[in-house]
Amino acid sequence: MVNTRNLVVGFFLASSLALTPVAASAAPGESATAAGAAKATVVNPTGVIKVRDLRFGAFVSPIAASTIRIDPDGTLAPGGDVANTVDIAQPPSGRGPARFTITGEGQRKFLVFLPNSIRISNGTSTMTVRRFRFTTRRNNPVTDPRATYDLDVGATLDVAANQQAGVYTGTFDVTVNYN
Amino acid sequence: MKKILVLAAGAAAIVSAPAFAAPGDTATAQGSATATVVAPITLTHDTGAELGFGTFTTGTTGGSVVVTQAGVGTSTGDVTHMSTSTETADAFTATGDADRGFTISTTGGSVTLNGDGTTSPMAFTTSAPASGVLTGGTAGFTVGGTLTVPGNHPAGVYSGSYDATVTYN
Repeated sequence: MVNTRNLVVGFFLASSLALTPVAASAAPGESATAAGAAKATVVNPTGVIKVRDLRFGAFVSPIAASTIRIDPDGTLAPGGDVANTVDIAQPPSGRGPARFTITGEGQRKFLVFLPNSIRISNGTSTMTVRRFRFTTRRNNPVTDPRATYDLDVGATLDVAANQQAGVYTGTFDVTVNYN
Repeated sequence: MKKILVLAAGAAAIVSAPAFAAPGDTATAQGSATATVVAPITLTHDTGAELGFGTFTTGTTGGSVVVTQAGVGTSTGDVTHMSTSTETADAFTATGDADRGFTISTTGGSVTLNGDGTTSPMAFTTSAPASGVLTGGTAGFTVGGTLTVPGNHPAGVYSGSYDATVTYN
């Protein structure tokens, strides 16, 4: 499922590489050689690569239904009873938004698609992850000379009252459509 | 006549997206969303356990009774334990997320004659470990304390209560 409401248009910065002409070397008097100029433009192949997963971290099963929102910038916004326990010791993977690195050619526009919601499971019980959000960086244009765009993805997790303990995981697709 | 039903298999060919898409194409990467739900920590007062300051005489000036977390009782000042006295440390069991650490806090309180809450109170403080680890999901700990005994205090059986609280790390 893709959600066309969730899209961002980004631009890649041109990434070009001019190769320096190389003079051919010849033995003196053997022959005459004129150096020619060679130039190549290298563009990054286009793709999207996961760098980090979306990690809601550890919290105690709440006594009342709760939510945990993680913004693309890493801001944690717990709602309900989990707010009392989000500060417990975290797993080694920590807590934070997902990151995907989008590579492409300079000035190339792209669209990003994310799911409306997904379910994550501990094998027997599930929770919903919804309201995926990501950085648009309108005020922070891509200027990375490698022509990459770091896409940070946050979302909101719904936690039921007395949610069964366990490690919950699920997957979601990030699709990039190049214009 | 034989009916032949041809089922058109709706084969959703899920092409795993190449890491590098051709121009005008799409690229997809899969991310995971993870969360760890931790079982609540519970604290249970061990059945029959109590912080027992023993049986003693107060003397004319009083003093104190100290019970260690190991359950060893001693008296100070004018207070003297009876030879038949038995002192005990209290005991609790915490259960919850396996191998997660927790902190322990305990309050003081007072014991009163016949436990009525008002008569001839004697104050006590408690001592407990600062922390523990739920090895395998459970952990026990004991609580000692110090009872302050006034001189010439009325004889009788005193009782009271205090609170112990555990909190996840």
